[in-house]
Amino acid sequence: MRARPYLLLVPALAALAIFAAAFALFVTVSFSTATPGTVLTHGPATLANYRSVLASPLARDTAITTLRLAGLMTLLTALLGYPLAYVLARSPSRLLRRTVLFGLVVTFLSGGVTRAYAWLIILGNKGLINQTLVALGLSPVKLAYNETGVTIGVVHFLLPFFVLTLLAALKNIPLSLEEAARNLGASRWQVFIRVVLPLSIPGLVSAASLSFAGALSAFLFPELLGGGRVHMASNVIYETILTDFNLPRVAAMAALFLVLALAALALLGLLQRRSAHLWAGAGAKT
Amino acid sequence: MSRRLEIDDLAKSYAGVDAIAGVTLAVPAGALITLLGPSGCGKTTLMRSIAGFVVPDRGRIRVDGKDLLALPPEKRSTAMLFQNYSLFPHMTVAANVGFGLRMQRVPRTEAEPRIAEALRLTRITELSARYPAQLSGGQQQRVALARALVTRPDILLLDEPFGALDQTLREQVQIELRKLQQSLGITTLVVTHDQLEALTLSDLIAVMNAGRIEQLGPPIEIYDRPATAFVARFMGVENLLTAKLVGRDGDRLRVAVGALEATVAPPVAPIYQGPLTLAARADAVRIGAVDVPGAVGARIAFASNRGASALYELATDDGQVLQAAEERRGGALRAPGTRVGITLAGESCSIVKA
Repeated sequence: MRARPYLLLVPALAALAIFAAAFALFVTVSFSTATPGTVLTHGPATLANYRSVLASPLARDTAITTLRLAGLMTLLTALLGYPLAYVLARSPSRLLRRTVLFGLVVTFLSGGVTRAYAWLIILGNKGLINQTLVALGLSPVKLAYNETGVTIGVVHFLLPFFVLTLLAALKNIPLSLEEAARNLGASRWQVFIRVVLPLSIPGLVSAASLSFAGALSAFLFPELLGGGRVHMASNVIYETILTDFNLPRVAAMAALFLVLALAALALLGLLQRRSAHLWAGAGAKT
Repeated sequence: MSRRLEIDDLAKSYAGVDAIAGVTLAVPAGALITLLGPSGCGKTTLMRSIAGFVVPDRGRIRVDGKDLLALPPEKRSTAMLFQNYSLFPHMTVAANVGFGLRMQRVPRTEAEPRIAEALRLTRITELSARYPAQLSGGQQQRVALARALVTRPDILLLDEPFGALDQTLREQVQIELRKLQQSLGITTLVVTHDQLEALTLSDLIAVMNAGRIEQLGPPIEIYDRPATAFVARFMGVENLLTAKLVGRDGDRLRVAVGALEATVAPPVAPIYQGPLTLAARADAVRIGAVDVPGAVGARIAFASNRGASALYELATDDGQVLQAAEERRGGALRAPGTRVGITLAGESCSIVKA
């Protein structure tokens, strides 16, 4: 009888088992050797693939580029997203709140490929912006097929995730705290710096972690807006499969990138728990 | 140091509904005034207008003659004690209390003794290193009060300050707050819906209803001589009776409520027409023997115990229902069904505007 509730877990566990099996399979493959000319692999278990990946300048450069771009994208998302979340949480104007929310939801609902091509129309070498610049007698700027274009596309993709996560945290800060601060002589800016920002740090770190994870795994925008010049982890893995046709080595590369991403997210998670503990937890221990 | 607070024809409406509809009020320097009224009467809007969180549609607010409305909230020398205390959860008690001084850029050497003084006045010195979540409701209230007082505000604003405290603690803190307010001489405005709290604390009570001040006066006057039926009801007057003017006795009026007659003082606000409403507290209805001269016969319909006194519901022979209170003096309650004779003590009744 007592086992009954656990029966409900079976479907979820089955789904998880399939995912885990897929991961296990690809990790297993990473320790094997490719049979030339086929997709097959054979034993015995070897670390040769990992050695090869760690020694390759491409993998190292990709890791650095991916972390650097993901960091930059997260930072830009936070800088753009915080004001938007604050407007959604606090603006007395319903029209403004709805407009912002609508803009974000539209981003959510429109497909990635559509958006990537839309960005190309705007940012391309003969795109809207450059045509305008040329019409004004200015020289065109390179906005697509480079890191700038990829960053713009990914930040746009991350924004709704960031804003909606932070929004929940901001809404939990009582308005009366802001009023109390102003009543005690704090300007709007001081209220933000001394009250809202510190109290929103746990939510900010959650939202940033989510964005960082999204940026690390970005594939579509680097592929379409990068023009083959921006090497982020997913794209390099994809391209390596097509060019090398060496599954074990690609699996090792993917496994290493995965470990790197998990390590970075674990660090952010730690930061989040520390900051949450600092405010809320300060009361828990009497 | 005490400041005079003047409010002149202040009005604010939301979506066409008046929250405050032209309030004029003068609070003498150092006095404590209570805005008393049910929820939605405009008392909170009025307080928030003084703090600067509500921008009124018209009218003026002045402190010692200086216009307050031109200033943003942070430039007003008002300190508000919020209903839920609104302590900063990420700051210690000392940092919470010191926040206002920090915002005013008071140098550390001056700020520290002032924080210590505020903590001492509110008797929370030993809590200074704690965080708000580690404090009880009563302790949080003291921190909020210390945080408000430390900036030496011209006007102290207290929004339902004791609502979250239990009864025993509430009475103790009320008296403490009143002593502190009097010794510091801070002009103070309290918002409450609790008439007992208003009576305990105030120099002046403004009873508010539907965005207006119904009556303004010292607590005893509000209690003894309500001007309107609303005020009478809000101050707990049990009997509001329709009365007829039957004669005069000097400047006093002789009125009749059915067969009951009483001689009462003239109303606070003159009433020129229509039937009179007589506000009679339960203790103004005196219970005696059936054969007392001038008494009206009645039957005890219901009896309940109030501790030192008993409250009776009486059905009079001329068809009225009255509440009457009587000191028990150690005796038992009168039994329901008993026939009694009742009279009205005119000195404990008021004629009020319906």
